[in-house]
Parts: sequence; structure tokens; C-alpha cells
Amino acid sequence: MASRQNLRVLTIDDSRTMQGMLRKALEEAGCDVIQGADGVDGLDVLRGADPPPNVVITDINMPRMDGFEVIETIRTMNQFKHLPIIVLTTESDPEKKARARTAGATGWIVKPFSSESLVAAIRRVTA
Amino acid sequence: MDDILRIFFQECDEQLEELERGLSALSDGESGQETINGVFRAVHSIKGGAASFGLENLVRFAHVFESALDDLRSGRIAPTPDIIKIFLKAMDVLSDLVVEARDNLAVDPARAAESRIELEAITGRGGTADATDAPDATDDAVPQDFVPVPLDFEPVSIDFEPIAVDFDFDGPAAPVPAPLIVTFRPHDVLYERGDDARNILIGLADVAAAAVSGGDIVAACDCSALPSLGDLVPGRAYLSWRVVLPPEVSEERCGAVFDWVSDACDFEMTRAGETGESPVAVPPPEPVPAPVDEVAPVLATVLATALADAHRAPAAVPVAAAVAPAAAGPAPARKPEQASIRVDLHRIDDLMDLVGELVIAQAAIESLSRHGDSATQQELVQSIGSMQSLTRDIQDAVMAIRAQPVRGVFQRMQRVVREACSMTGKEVVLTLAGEETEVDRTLVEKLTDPLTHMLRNAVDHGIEKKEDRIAAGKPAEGHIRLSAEHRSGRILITIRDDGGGIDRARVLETAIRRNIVAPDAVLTDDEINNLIFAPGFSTAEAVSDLSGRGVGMDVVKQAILSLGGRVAIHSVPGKGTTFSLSLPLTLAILDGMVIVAGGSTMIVPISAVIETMMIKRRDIYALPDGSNVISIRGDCMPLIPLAAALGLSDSSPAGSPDDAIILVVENESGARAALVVEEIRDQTQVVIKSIENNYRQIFGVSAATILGDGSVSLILDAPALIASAVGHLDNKPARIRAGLAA
Repeated sequence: MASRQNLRVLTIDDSRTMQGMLRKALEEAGCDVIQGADGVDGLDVLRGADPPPNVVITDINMPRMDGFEVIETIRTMNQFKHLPIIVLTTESDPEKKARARTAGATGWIVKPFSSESLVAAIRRVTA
Repeated sequence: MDDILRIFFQECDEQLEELERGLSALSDGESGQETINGVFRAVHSIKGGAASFGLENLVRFAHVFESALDDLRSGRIAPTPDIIKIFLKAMDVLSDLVVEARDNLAVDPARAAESRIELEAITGRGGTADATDAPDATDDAVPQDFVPVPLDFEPVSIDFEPIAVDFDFDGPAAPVPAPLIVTFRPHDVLYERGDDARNILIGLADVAAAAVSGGDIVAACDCSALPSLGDLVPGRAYLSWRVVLPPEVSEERCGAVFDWVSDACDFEMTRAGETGESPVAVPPPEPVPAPVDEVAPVLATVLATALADAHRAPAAVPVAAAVAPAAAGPAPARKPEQASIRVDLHRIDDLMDLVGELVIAQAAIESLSRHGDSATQQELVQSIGSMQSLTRDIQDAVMAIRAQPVRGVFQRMQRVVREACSMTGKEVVLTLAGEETEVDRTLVEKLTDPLTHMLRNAVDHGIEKKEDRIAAGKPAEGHIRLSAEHRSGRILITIRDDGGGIDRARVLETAIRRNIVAPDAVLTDDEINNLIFAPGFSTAEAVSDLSGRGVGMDVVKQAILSLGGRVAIHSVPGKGTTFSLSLPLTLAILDGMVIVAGGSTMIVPISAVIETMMIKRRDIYALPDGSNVISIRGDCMPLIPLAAALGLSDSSPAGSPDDAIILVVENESGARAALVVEEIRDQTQVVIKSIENNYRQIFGVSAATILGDGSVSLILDAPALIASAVGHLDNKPARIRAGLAA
């Protein structure tokens, strides 16, 4: 298990506001943050990340490629089969949630989030 | 946090732009799913961000708007013109609310309320706000009544893949046969983590309220395991709970409450019917059969209900989002988008500055190359030649980075026209063309105000009243076309209306009455048209809602001039008026002619220079007041001795006029003047450096620059010189020009 100090988190969100908040919350918690501006970009960042992230936080509603597809794609990548993926979205519709689970999401956080709950969630899935 | 808030508002602007673009496309008959998705996403993003900052008004309105758009997305409603109109209005309100949140400017609440009612009428969700629609339910109660402090409630729900629970999440939802009974017993670890059974009760109450309007839970606490006070170990968990939820609650929803704590408590869910249990309020607890404290269930019920009521407000957003119906077929559509990166504008500005320095350094080398021995000179000149073209390329590339399509500004004009229409009762369609045309970013920003005013004017004064249009055999609906295009290194923006055209007789009459021109003046049509730019001119007999805001066309013209632009008017009576704005592509670098006057080296912008020539004494005519005019191929224009005009020398060039060098310069309305200079040195690109920022405004000078030899040189403000020359002859320029032309 990676300790909290060197946790690397990839956040994928098309909202710069959200990305800014995520970065702030995560960096304050001692995480190393890398970011993707949408699904396609997020996957690019993931592929090029060295070292790879310990956890991915992704939005659902995004242009170009949505979060479901991001999760599905990550699960097809051998080295990331077990990478924890947390969905962060304003949606809490059960159907969507079920879809995210099916796609391979590890957890689900509803926006707006507090940094404590976010960090707690990350700690939990990376424990 | 301020930084992020700033980003949020910046992003709001972008999303609003996207929304406007999408809605315009829809109103043009385009109905692609990706367009609709884009529109939805824009509002959704604004809502999401606003929720993060607790911008309640914005969230509430965005939520209603989003719901209506979701109906559009799922095909429940069609994008008919009426619906689009409602959306456009909602967009305006949304953008007002963004401004309200950003600048603390109050928004007309009536307008927002009206738009909201329209949106709710679309979705059919108006009026009876069901319990799940938290933003509605708490609309007015929140600010006054809600006291979040004593509850210490964390308004974030976090759900996780259950670890100990084995539910078929993906299976079809079972019908709701009987009340759902949940029993749970927290372990010590739950409290050690700082969690609380209360949070679970809140979660369950929330689920109940979300599933059915007014749904309450009935909770009973089992205190049987509680030891006597002497044996009680603080921090140990002794209590277990039994909660009856309304039948409408699904196992999944309920189970989700335990996702987060599934390893920290025992819990079990049963349907009342399945185990033969009856959904009574105080049944014997199952897992730990023991006598139940009779007071506990009552307290628990009260507590759970109170908690649920109280915290519905902060949890408004996630709950509300749950209500939004699932989109039908949210198939991930990939929008072809240009790959792009975001770069801080300062970095580009810095780069631009560097390019400017490069241009200067190159000019320096060039001037040095004129000296030295001829052997190396040849090579040097060649190298400089190739460096020159490289510099030019880099400069173009940097300018391209700074370039921005005018789309954003243009689309904002749709709203301007819509509002002008609603204030004047006219119907006007604004069509846009060339929105992709790119200009320097700083220019784009500065275009908004002049364009806004010109479009308001076009609706207010240009387009006739509906009856007049019909009487004139025109369609009742007026048309305005706003277009942009690149033309010979400048951008040309035209605003063309199909209104009545400028009533020149009335303009002239007003101008005479306001003492702008002399009563006996003979003016050309163009000159009359240009009178509307004169300070203090307004043809509006009665000050309408739109005009009379203290901004006249003269201000518009000044704004355009300050951007290095020109305005021209073309008007045909009964057919309409066209305004053409010609602007430089950038405000940073210009092509200039290096001249010498009064012994000083100066720059005249090439764009102002029509021609250069040498003149003879016989071409000069003296006027009675001592000033001179010159006739060039039959055209008369004032002769401006530049050195004297700038106060650099007292000597009149008329003293040695033979072979005097003149520059014929022109202003935006076509008025010309001849500047007498001592020498024309070069033609070069110069980097514009503001002197106003560092010094103050100087008559006849628009900016400064640094030349290749390192010297500072002033850039002349040709239009100002022309105006003053004409003004020097007479304070009423139009009459003089007319006199000269006659």
C-alpha cells in the first residue's frame, strides 16, 4: 500500500473549477496530483504517467469521452485492471451508478464534496 | 479559494457561450444529439460548480433549467421555436445570476421567477414541489430557518461498492411490496473512525424522503446491550437500531447508505412481508432479542425526522440530482474537437514582448550592417534577410496564439438584440457571419461595448416600427446582419440592417439645430451620415428606453478609433444602413513609416498613409487666416507642417515649399490632410509601447516605440492631426470640408 504522502491521484474532469478544487484538496492532503481535461485527455495522461497514479477520480458528464467509457477503457488496460477508480459527479441516479459499477468503478462520490470526505474516500480505496 | 472561484466564473462565461451557441444552432433547426448534450452539459457544469461554492440562487435556477434541458435531451419535448425562446430567456437569467454571484449585483427577481415558471411548465414539474426536489422545497426556508451548526452534518454522501453486502445491483428493481426493515449494529470501529449511527439514520431518512413524498422512517433503538453505568466503557458500541422505511424504498438505495460503513457495522434488510413481520413502529428487534427501552423509539423517530428535515437543505444538490430523470440513451458521443491547451495569457503576453524585443534587436543589427567593410557586409545582409523572415513568422505565430474568434462577442450580441427587441416591441432577427474570424484577444474584449451600442442603435433607430415596415412592403420582422472578415491585414466588421436608412434631412436639421454645422452648410451625403458620430448628436426626439443611456455614437467612434480602427457608414433611404468597422488584427505591432520632422524621428502608421509625394510651391494655396491648403489632382486638403503642428519648430514650411515632402493621410471618415515632413527614412514594423501608461497623453501622439538604433520614437496619431488641422481652420469641420470640396 502506498502511504498517503506519496499517493498519486489522477483527476479527470472537464470543469476547471472542479479540477482546481480537487488539486487544492488533494495537495493539501499531501497527494501528488495529475489531471486530465476530459476522458480522452485523462487516458492520455494515465498512459503517460510515470509513476502511474494510485487512484483515479473521474467525472461522468464530459465532452469527447464520458466517465463510463473512461472506466471501461482503464479496465481493459492490463496494468490498470485493479486501479481504484472513484466516480465524482453531481449525478446520483441509481441507473448511472449501476452503470458505473458495471463498468468497473470502485466508488462514487457526489458533488459537492468536502476535502475530508474526498481524502477519506481515497484512503479507503487505496488502503 | 478565490483563485478557484475566479476560474469558476471564467468557466461560467465559457459555458454560457457554449449554451448560446448550442441554442442558436437549435433555433436554426439543427437538432443533433451532440448539440443538445452540449447545451445540457453547459448548464450542468454551471450547476455543479455553483453547488461547490454554495451559490444557492444559481444552483436552484440551474437545476430547474437543467431539468427542462434533460427533457429535451431525452426527447420528451421537442426543440420548437417556443421552447427555444423559453430556453434563451432562461439562459439570459442564468447569465444574470452568474453576474449576480460574481459582482454582487442584484438580479430582477421577477424575471428569474417568470423564467423559472416557464421552465417548470415545460417539464410539468411546477407548483407541487415534491419532497425529493429539494431545491424547490427549501426555496425560501433555507436562509431564514436553517441552522446547520448544532447538527454537525456532513452534506456529502459517499457511496462505495459494498464489501460485506451481497446485492444484485445490476438486477432489475424489484416491485415494492412491503415496508423495508433495516437493522444495524455499529461496531466499535465505526465510532473510532469518527462516524456515528446518527449519520446512518440521516442517510436512511434521506433515502425515505427521496423515494416518496413526505416519507418518514420509524427508528427504534435497542439499548438492551447497554451495561450498567459502572461497567460502561466509553467508546464501545452498545446500541443497535431497527428502522422501518416506506415500501417505496428500494434495497439498493437503502443498501447504498451502508456502502461506506459496511465493514463497520452488522446490518440486515428485510421486507416486512418476507419474514412475516408487520411494519409496526415498535417491533421486537430481531438480531438482538431483548426488551426495548420504550422511550427510545419515540426519541429516535423524532430525531431521525428532525435530522432529515433539517439537513435536506444542504444536501439539496445531490438529492435533487437524483431526481433528474436518467437520460435516455446517454451513449458516449465523441465530439470532434480541436486539441487545445490552456495557456496563461500572461505567458503569451510575455512571449509577445519577447518577440517585440526581437523585432527591435533585428532592426538594430540591420542598421549596424550598413556600416562595416563590404566583404562581410554582403553576408551580413543576407543573414539579416533570413532572420527577418523568421522573425516575421514567429511574430505571426505568436499573434495566432493570441488570436481568438470573434464568436464569443458576436453571440453576446444575440442577447443585446433580444433585449432591445423586448424593450422596443420590434421583432428583429440577428444573423451572424464569419464568427470564426480571429483577432487579437485584447481587441476582442474591447469590441463588446461598441458593438453592443451599435446593435442597440440598429434596433432602436435603424429598424422601423412593424406597421411602417409592412406599409413599406417589407417583412414585419427586421433583419440585422453582423459579420466579420479579414481584409488586407485588417478585420472588417459590418453591421447591416434592413431598416429605413438614415433620414439625412432630419440628421442635418438636428445638426444645425444643435449648432454642430452652420445653417448654410452644403454637405455631401457621406458627411451628413457621419454627423451621427458628432459629440452631442442624437436624433431621438423622445429619449427611449434604449438610447439616452449617456452613450452616444461619438463614444462608439472614439472607442473604435482608440483601437486603431475606422468606422464608415453607408445608408440607402428605405433600404437600410451598413456600418463598417475596420480594425487592426493586433494592438501590439504595427507597420509604420519612419519619417523625420523638426529633426525628430517619428512613425506614421502605414494604414493612415494614402500616398507620399513631393510638392511644388504652386500647388499650395494660402487661406485668409494664414493656413495653407494644397490641391492634389483637384482635391483640396489642409497642409499641416508637422514640426510646427507638434510644437517642434515655429518655421512654416511654406517658407521652403519647393520639393517639400508630404504624406497624404486619411482618417476613417475619408477626410484627408497632407503632412509636411523633412525626410522619409524607412518603412518598418514597430512595437507599440503605450506612453499614457508611463507618462500622459500627448496631442498628436498615439504611442511610442523603440527603433533599431535604440532610440525612442513617437508614433503619430494621424486622425487627431487631421481633426486639429481642420479644426484650426474652423471649428466646424463639416462646413470647411464642404467648402473645400465645393
